[in-house]
Amino acid sequence: MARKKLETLTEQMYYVLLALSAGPRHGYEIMQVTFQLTGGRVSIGAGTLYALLSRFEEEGYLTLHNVQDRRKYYALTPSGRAVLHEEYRRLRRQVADGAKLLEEEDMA
Amino acid sequence: MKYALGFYPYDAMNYKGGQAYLDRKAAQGWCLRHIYLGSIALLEQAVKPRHFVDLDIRPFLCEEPDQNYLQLCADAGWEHIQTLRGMLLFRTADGADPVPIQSDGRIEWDRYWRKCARKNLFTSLLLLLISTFLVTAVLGLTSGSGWTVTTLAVSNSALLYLLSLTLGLVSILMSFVSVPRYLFRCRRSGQVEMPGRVAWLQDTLFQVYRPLYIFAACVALLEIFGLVGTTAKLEWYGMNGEYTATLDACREYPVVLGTDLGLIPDPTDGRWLEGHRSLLAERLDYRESTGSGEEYHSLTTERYACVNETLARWVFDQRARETRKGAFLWGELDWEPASGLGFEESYTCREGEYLLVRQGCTVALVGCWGVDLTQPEYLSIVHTRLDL
Repeated sequence: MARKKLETLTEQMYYVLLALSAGPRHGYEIMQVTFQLTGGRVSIGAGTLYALLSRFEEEGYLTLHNVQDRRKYYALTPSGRAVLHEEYRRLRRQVADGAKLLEEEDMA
Repeated sequence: MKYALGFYPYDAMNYKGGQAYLDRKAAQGWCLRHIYLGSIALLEQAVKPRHFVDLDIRPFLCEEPDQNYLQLCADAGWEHIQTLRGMLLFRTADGADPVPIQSDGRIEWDRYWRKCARKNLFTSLLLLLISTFLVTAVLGLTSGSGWTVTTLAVSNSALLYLLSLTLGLVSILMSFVSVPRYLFRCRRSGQVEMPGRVAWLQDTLFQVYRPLYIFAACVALLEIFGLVGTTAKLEWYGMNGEYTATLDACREYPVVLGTDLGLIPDPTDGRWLEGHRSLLAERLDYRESTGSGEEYHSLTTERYACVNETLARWVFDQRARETRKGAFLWGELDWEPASGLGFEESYTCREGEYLLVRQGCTVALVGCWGVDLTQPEYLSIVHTRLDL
């Protein structure tokens, strides 16, 4: 199974990058921020998060900031921030498109 | 605190089977404490325990586990119990309900395929090739060297080796049947699926194979040093001062001696008697050289006392095949069926100098140069001396 360059982000990927947008964080903080931000709707397992962090690091979307008490702190790179913003715009466009049709349907 | 024991044979390839086993135990209120000797699970009573079996994806298992990863799991509420055969075993504290370690089935499958399944398929293929090469090499080296398959029947270590190798081979062959089907199923669903019962059986066989192999090696060492399996060891050569194989000592065993056949003993005669026993059979091996010049005789008795007639029939046929191919000290024996000698099955060759007979559970190969053992007076001695 060849590894493809990321084109769109899954929900969990999006929230990992989003959690890092405010500054460097370690893995568990990312999990907590995601959980709180989504009101418990999205929760990321430690193994899944670790795999995502490794992949994002390989892709150059984030970088290891420092290690403290066996906890790795990660920070977004400019490239990672660009991907996050692109995904955000894509999601907004999707919501806007949905609004055009579905809100009219709801009103009717 | 109450404890219980369980059996955990699962390998990294079937780690979801291990997960299911621990889930069943958790539902009964048991939490994993540790796995000893590779597969004996010690469980303790707990309140709503939860487990997670994760793949250990270190490139080389001799390296230290990734402490950052274990710390992240610990922060998330998963206590690392131990690392076993490429798996990381976790449990929660009493009543805790953390997010499962793997929360994305696709990522989990991708990781399983890249880090575990591909490697496992390659390793299994390599193991099969190496095993085939080793078996071929051993058979090639031993053919015509005097080493015989019937030797296996009288050695407990050889029987154990045979059993362990069979289990190992069956396990590998089973994996070739079950693993591609399992991987296809996972690929179709896009996540690591629950393996079937065949995977459990395959892992169990492999878990039994390894300790059995080690046990066989220990028994082999004991046998080499004569601490187990040896029932007799008497030696007497002309140059040897330790005269243990005296006529009287040898007469205690069911073998045909030169004096039984009317040959006159001489102080320069050589005698040697060795006995080995396994769970299936006991073998006595007697050699005697007596006389000199025209009157030189070489005597042989191989006697197998088997646990049942089926095995005795196999030993009889096998020994006939082996000695025809030259697996005998004095060259190839071209056996001809011989009837009317008073045995259930019998062969003879070299004008009656050699006899291969089976009577009930006993098989014997008797030979004496220059003596026609098919003569009634000698047959009667063979019958009596070999206790047939």
